[in-house]
Amino acid sequence: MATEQKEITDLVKRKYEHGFVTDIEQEFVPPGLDEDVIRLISQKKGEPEFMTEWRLKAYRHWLTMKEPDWAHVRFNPIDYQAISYYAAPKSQEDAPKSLDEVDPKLLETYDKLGIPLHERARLAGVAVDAVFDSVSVATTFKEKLAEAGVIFCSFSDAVKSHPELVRKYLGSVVPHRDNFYAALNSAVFSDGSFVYVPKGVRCPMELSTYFRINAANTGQFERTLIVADEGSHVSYLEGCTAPMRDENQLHAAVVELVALEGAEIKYSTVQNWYPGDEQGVGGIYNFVTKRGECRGANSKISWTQVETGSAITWKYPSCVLRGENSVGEFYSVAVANNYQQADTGTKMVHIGANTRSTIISKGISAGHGQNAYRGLVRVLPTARGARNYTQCDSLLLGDKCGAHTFPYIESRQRSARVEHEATTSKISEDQLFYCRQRGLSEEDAVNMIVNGFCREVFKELPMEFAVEAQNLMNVTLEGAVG
Amino acid sequence: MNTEALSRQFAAELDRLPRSAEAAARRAAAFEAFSAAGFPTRRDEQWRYTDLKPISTAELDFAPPPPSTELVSRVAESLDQAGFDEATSRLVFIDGCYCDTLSRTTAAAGISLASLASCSEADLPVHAHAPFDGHPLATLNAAFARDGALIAAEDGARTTAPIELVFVAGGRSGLAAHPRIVIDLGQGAEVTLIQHLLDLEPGRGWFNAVTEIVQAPGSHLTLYRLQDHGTRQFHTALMRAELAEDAKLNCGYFDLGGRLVRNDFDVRLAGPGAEADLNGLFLASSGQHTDNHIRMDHIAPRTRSAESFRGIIGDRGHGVFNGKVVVHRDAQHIDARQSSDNLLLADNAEIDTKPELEIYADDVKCSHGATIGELDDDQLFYLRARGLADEEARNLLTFAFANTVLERVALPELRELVAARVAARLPNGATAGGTR
Repeated sequence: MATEQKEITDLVKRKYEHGFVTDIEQEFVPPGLDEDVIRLISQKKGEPEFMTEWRLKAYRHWLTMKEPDWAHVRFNPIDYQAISYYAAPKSQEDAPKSLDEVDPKLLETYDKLGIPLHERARLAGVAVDAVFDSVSVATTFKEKLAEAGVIFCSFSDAVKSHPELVRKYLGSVVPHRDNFYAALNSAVFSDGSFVYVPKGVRCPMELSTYFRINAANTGQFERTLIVADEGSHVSYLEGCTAPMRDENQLHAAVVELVALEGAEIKYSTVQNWYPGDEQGVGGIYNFVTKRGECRGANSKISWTQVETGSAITWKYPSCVLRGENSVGEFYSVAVANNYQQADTGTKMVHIGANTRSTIISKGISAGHGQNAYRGLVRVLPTARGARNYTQCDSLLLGDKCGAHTFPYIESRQRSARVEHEATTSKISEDQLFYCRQRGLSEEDAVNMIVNGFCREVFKELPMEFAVEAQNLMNVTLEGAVG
Repeated sequence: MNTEALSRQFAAELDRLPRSAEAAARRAAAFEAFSAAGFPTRRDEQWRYTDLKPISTAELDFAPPPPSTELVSRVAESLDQAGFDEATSRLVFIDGCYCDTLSRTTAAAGISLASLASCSEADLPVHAHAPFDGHPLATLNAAFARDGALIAAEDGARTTAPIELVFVAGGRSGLAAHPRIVIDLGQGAEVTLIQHLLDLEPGRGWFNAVTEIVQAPGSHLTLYRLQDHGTRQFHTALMRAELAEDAKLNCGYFDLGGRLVRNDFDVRLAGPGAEADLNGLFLASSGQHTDNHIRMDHIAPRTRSAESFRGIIGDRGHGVFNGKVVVHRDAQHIDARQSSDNLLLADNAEIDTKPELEIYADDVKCSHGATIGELDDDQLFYLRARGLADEEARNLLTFAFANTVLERVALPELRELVAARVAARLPNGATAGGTR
């Protein structure tokens, strides 16, 4: 018991490894939001008219909306007028042409995070479109991708170089009026990634973006759009870390995926934003709208996420299964430790015939953390022969935390088969005893059991992420035995 | 029914009931609480899948006139025909009004059985006046309830045969009844109770009941309800139970009829070792809508609960299940299971199910499962290969699906009755092979 106590104390005191602030001069728009600010953002980014209009339309609609209050999370009201909606590294004026021209301090930041951009990118064969606060500063492996015809660039670039694609697909999966945070994002989004994979192309490498929130008081509003044209295949990796800071920071991103006939998109996330300190002070508010649409027949969208960070997570990567025989998958590990709150899950909307979906969700609660799975499986009358399997399991480490499950299951098609299973328990004494008896330390035993608990999800991650995720889990839950 | 009309009815009703000033004030407070919010709408998360408009827009008389002697004798006849035994302890209500001549209030030693209206206010258990936060329809019941049943068991008392509560809709359309059932079990008492709900003739009315249960330590309540209304009745009911240490509650709810049915269950396992088992079966077809809403609070440690609901949804039927298990902080060693299994028999059938868990303690074993599907092709093939007609095979499998719940009924006679009623309501019921 004494060792457990000590381990728990250690756990509680564990500091956020990635907590530091890089001191780079930033260009700010003063805090506050009105139509002028939106015009200014749009102008600064040199956007065409249709984008400005689109932003304004979203803003006007946002004004009529209320913050959602149905999620199982508690936080102080956000003052949207106190947020600065635009920050760009100063060096943006004369944008870097290659890595050598990138602000060395910026590169240092990535080094501290353990992701030496150029090295890592080359070694791992990963093209990285690194987003530093709001403006993309370095993009690698462009040529190789260009050879295959894959467009992988920052959203700002895409708006300028491929306006027709942006215009066609932007907001087609997550419309600007979708929800409060998506509307806000549509109005003020700063930058993000854009991917287009042409017909029949298998993207030659895993695409990856590392996000960082750096400047104080700056909400980060990412917008990602991935379009996989007929018969193409792409795997996209997203990883997040954020520096230590006492104020809560808002992160309201939108990710849209479009899979046309026979296309496949795999989207993997390791989210490790700053979760706040052990008293629950600070930390990121992560209010994200992620949705993919399997528009064509035989298409597939797969979401895999490992959520260990953020003070509050509000995130439901979803699939709209429109095309016949299309497939949606959602694999998730979510951890809520200390005072973290997570309300996460997915929506699977079955529209086309013989559509299939799988949901595997693993929630881990520790400390005072509150972890909720919220999911929707909806089978429409048109989805003949649809199939869903859902499994959501929760693991409780400690008696002050909470684990909740809120699944909504709606079926209006008799030939559809829907199955849902959920369990909640703590690590059993028997399992622990068994491991201890075979000479494992308590901590190793817990790590092993937790990793076993998450295995089904980890095995869906790309290899380099799987290792990272496993280590992250071990560190996050060091010694947290209930 | 607009608020004005409702207010008028309430004012008239308040004058009519001979009750103390406190009771009148309580009713007025309840009515005010209801009118402040009005009927819940689908914007309300608790009513997401159930639209009360058919009830809220219907013209209903909230003060049904007492049944005529002619109606009473017709009910008596029909009960005899249906095989009800006059010798059992029973309370009979017609359109919500207590019917003395058809009831028999003598019961086993230590068990009292009475119509609520006949009890002096001082005799009523305190909880009979409890408010109903979060249950708007129960609040409406609190305002309008004029009668109901009181079943009280002294410490250690036991029923030798099940007590029956029979609620008959007399076929007069447009009546709204708000009966209240109060069940109070002393320490170690054991009571078995069967509620029958039926229509003398098909009619459209609203039955809005509240059942309040308080169980002292070690008591054991078995409660069955066979809701066998016609397919035009509206039926809403709240069952609220509070269980002390080692008390056990065992429920079987069978909803076969009703146009719009909503059952709320609110069970609080307040004493260590308390246990609750809720079993339910519903049939919904021909535009029927049936909604079972459960909240199971594990407040004390070492409590156990199990919920198992099965739905058979046919042509234009709509089934809803919402089960919520809440494990409170420091309520350790909890075992909670929940299952919702649903069979869709028609193309335009719909089921919405939402099994929820909210857990604030760590030493728990909680699980839930939900399934939705149609009859299994392989099983059908198996039966067809053995010479059963398609319809027969379907009915046999459908009945087998229902039988899982029926098998849990401990009283053989009741089990047979429910089985027969289920079989009769299946799409080709009369020919069902499963009636035994």
